[in-house]
Amino acid sequence: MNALVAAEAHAGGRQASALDVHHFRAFGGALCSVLAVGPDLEAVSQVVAEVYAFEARLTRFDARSELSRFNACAGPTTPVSPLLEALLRAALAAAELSDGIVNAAVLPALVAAGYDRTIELVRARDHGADAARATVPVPPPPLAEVLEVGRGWARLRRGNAVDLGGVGKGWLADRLAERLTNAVVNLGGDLRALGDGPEGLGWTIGLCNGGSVAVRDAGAATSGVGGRRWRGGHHLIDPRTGRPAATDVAAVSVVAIDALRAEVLAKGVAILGSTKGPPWAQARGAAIVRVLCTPTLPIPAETSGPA
Amino acid sequence: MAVGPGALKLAAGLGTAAVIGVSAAVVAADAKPAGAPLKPPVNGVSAAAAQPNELASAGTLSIPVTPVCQRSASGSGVAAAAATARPTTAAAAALDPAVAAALQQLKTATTAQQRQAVMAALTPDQRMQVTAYVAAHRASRNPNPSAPKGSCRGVSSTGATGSSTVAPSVVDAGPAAPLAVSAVS
Repeated sequence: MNALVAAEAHAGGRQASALDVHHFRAFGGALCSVLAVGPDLEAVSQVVAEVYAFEARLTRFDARSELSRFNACAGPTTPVSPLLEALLRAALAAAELSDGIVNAAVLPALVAAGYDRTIELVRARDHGADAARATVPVPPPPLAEVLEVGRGWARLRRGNAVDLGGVGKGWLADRLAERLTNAVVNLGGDLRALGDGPEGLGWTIGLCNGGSVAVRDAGAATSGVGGRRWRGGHHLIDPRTGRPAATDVAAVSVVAIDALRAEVLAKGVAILGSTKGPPWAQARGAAIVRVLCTPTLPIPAETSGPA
Repeated sequence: MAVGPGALKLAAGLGTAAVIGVSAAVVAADAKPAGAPLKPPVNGVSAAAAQPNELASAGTLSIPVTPVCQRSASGSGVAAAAATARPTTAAAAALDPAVAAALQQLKTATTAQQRQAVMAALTPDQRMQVTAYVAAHRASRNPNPSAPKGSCRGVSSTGATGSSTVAPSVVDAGPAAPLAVSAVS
């Protein structure tokens, strides 16, 4: 933990408040952080512990997780915890908001594209192997056609599986930030800022294009194909084709009312591309859209850590 | 010809009775609109209120949403229908007893310190379950807290859906060094 105390606000002569910064890694090695002003340190510690509890319950890379067991028993109605129920509902809401562009049912397509283990293991496996995978397109069905959610139960149509990664991080950042009154919870780029920040001027958030914005109550998320890539593919599946999206968006940052909406819209822009994506996101509540384009982003050929 | 007071009183009474009688006849003969009741029914139950409600069954006060909002806020397709329905086959998951007890304690907690004490006694996983449960109840009570009044669309972080939101507080920060960075992961 780093304890930073800014000397004095640069504008208006405001006295800065103590800022506690916690960095940690979760969600497959993604850099996460909690920045909080004048917090109860016990509350911050609880927040960090809950990130790990969340990951343990909802990771798809552990067969013992609740999500893995839910996917494995697709077909009949299944009892689910309040947490999984909330995330499944959030996935349905994300699909509706995005007109199906953000579809949690892409998991079989994601696996077919090669993302069948943690990104570090995918890159290690593909290092030196054939660059192109013989992937079979698996366009997912509309999520609302295969997933039902009720109070304490859910039902996934047989033959389907869901991945709650992006939606989960956005949802979690929102819930945890609400626990701290003046803080930023950043979960691998999906972040929620609440409060006036350490100097009373808002929280300064850096975006993918190098620019910064000051926010008081907002979410931000960055998506794109510049992160989780491997030889022959990347993790953003276009549900219209079942293949990794053919997009010119290396990274896109979206600022919206909360982290979940920002995450959904950022992923949508990344899939739709730099021409159709930004107006699509703005029509759905994006306050800011910043795109970093690349026509020929190289696929990493060597093992490296997550971006 | 002189008229006595008694005769005048009698004439006035007869005149009044005649006016009242004519008025009553006119009102009785007036056609009333067939489709407009003079007052709304007071014993009937509205269709929305008569529908099954999960919160009501859970003993929680709830205000039924209007049919229009219910249709829009709960999405479409089978998932939307299931979102407000009870399980049809298997039983729903039973709450962890510690989570259930914490939810009861949170209902009666009146200060932030009391709520924090309740949460502190739980494991991180149990705190997540409580957080999710509370968020779900909040979303079901208010399907779209971030949308302007009158809108049935919007997506909130609790999972409600729609297209309209309140704009976030955000301004360009220029060259200021960021405290946090949203980067692709």
